[in-house]
Amino acid sequence: MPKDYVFLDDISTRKMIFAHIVRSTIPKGTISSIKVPDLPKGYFSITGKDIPGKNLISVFSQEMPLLCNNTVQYEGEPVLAICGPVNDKVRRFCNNTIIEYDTDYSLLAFENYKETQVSGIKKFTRGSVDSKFKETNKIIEGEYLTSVQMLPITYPMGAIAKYKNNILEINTASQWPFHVQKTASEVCGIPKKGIQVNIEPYHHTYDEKLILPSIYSAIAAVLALKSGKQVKIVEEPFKILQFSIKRPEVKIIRKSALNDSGKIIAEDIEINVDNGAYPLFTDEILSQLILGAASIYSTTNLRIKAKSIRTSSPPMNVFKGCGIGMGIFSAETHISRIATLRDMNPIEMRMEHLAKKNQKLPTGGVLKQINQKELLTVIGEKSDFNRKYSAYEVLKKKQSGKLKRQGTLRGIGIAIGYAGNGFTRKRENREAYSMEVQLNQNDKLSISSSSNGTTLGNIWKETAGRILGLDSKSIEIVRGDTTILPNSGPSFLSNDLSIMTNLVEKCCIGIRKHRFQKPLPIIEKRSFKSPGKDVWDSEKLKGMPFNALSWGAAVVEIELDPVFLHPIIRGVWTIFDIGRIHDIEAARSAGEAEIYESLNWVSGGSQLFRTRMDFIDIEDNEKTDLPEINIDFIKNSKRSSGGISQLPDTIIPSAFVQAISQASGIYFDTIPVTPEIIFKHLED
Amino acid sequence: MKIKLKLNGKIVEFDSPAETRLVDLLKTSGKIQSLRTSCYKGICRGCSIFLNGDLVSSCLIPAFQARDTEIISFEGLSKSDEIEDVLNGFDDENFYPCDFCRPGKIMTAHSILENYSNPDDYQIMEAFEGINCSCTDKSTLIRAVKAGAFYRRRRRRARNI
Repeated sequence: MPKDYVFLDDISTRKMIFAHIVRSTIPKGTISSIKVPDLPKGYFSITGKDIPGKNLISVFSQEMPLLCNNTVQYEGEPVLAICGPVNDKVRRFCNNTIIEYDTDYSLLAFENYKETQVSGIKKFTRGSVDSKFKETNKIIEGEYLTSVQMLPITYPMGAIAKYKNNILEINTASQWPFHVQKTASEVCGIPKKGIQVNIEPYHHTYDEKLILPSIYSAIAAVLALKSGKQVKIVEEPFKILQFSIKRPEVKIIRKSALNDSGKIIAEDIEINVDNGAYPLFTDEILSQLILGAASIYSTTNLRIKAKSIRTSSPPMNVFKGCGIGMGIFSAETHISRIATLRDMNPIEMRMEHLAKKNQKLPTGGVLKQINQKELLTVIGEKSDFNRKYSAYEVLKKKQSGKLKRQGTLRGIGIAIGYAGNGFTRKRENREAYSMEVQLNQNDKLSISSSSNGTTLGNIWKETAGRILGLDSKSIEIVRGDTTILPNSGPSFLSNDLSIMTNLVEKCCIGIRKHRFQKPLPIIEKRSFKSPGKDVWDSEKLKGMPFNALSWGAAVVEIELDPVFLHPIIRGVWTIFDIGRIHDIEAARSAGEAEIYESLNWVSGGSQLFRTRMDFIDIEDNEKTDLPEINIDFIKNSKRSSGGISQLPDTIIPSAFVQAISQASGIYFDTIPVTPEIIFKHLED
Repeated sequence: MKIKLKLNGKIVEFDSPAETRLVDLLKTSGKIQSLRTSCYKGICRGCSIFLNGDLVSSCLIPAFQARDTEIISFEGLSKSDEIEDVLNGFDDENFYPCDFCRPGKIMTAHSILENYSNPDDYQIMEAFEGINCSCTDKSTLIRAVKAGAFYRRRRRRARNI
């Protein structure tokens, strides 16, 4: 068996004991009693009271309990953990544990929230919005809703902990191993240097491995301290799907004031986001939602108020990013809606609202070496957008908006947007990203970082090899634990690519300077810290929020199946400007995978391609090819690489929804758009 | 409940409770570590095995149904020469799935090559429909399986000569 295929849930030793979590069965209430079955010798349970240190998990000064303290805040909240030598018995004890509650009530749902449920507010203002709204009577309002998205699939997650010789050793697959170390240190009350986190491999994530491994590791660590044995805790996938992170529900109401010529002169935007029972990452999510909703256009009068709402849902925080895509979805769908009402081509409408010169983000960050107009022009030409848009408008106007409509139902949509790498720069929480490169005898080079990923490793090898003239076979990416690896921060939203690759480059340039002059080994260490308030003011939301930006534009063309109302993709065209491209094939592959993911999200997992049955009467085999996903890049960009992973989520959903709106003749403003939703609207 | 079967060419006998699923039996008693227990709904295909020659999701099969059957897991397939066709195809197209879905993707690709000598896009997409891991893109996957089919055809031709 190759070592690659051994994962955490496969590891088991004779002396290991197993743990499972008992979770609350109601959304909100006070625990009156916990009846754990009589546990035989060797089995024991812990609650929040048994935690030796702080019973908390904290991120950026926001926190939530590790095991709940008497009051349950959501269904599925961890209440206690039971462990013992036989896994199945532990599971049975957990299933037979009865938790009784004094009260049983839940907070109001997200749609009908009360002001007392508001857990965070963030505002952004520029210009004078009220006076502009008073000046005009042309006001267009739109409401954009993105529903909760669950993980489509997951694998068992957990941790193994052992306390021996005053060292707490934890094995877990985490995107943020140093957060695991920090949490275990706080929960167990032992210093960080006494905790070694071994980084297990993990696969593609939806950011569920950002915080959850810290929770499992901390519980396993407490149990290991108490028992003196090696403890394994592995959560079943269905529990992870049910109780772990989800993409939060977001509602964005946009009011736009138009002048006589139809140009947007002011916008008043209200954003509500459901962050579940505990507000982790709230500030970051609100900031990124505002950045997305503010769009890329030069609207001089802008007011945005974003609120996070506390509900009895499981904590919903980062899920493939912090929400910039949902903000851009509202902005792009809204501007196309206005274009339709003005009988204007959506590309022209966008061109009209882009800054003529000195391109800036609405927050004031100056955009260098990016040409938004070029992106729109190129994507328009490649997809033949203008001709198709006009033709489909004619089709739409010929047909009535009723179910009886016949013939071809086709539509096309366009969107432009950007994504940033990692978290916005917070002065108070500046995360250090470090990298160490060492040149040893026989020209062997080792690159040490806590980041994960094979593609990333290959990019680093290629970069180091190019600078130092080494063969990639003599370059090793050091895997290991937190005691030997430098803190490379969270592996999140391509910051591994944009920040860490730059650090590799700097380390290698440093080695090149000293090579043949200094004795071996030559060790170079570089760190990156976000710049201060002068570059990004996280309170006032002024300046440039990200270290690197990626830009993109997309066109999606669809045809609605007239019987089943499945949106069948006819083509997707994208153009990306992601800064410097290290490996174009890897970027193209990652881009395509993410485009499919985005299409899957926005269509609610509907069938997006014709099936074999649809082609049963077509003899020409060539016509049965799958639709091409066209991906182009702006090459030779000198900006630092911003990564591609988050970009499709910011541009594909809006383009898809616009295409469905044109094909059906009905204005859609939600994600997902499923055949059932289309049918319901057509029926109405 | 005694369950006797042929696993990767060897006759084995397991003792298991009646409610056990085949994936759990193979993973715990059979020590087949390439199997992933993820969805238990037959949609992730991380637990793919060949059961009497058919590719199936072992999470959907009660263990007792595997009595007197022949099962080949990824470990068994790895020992055969024919897996080289799949791996060569993957290498040619630089198609490297993540460690989690790799066994399932290799098993599925092998199954396609067994059934079609020259698979088209739809046959490939249909077979891979259930594998949701998005570590790789679909275009490269299709190219990689088609490249594997080339090696398989060449192997068969050589065998026939």
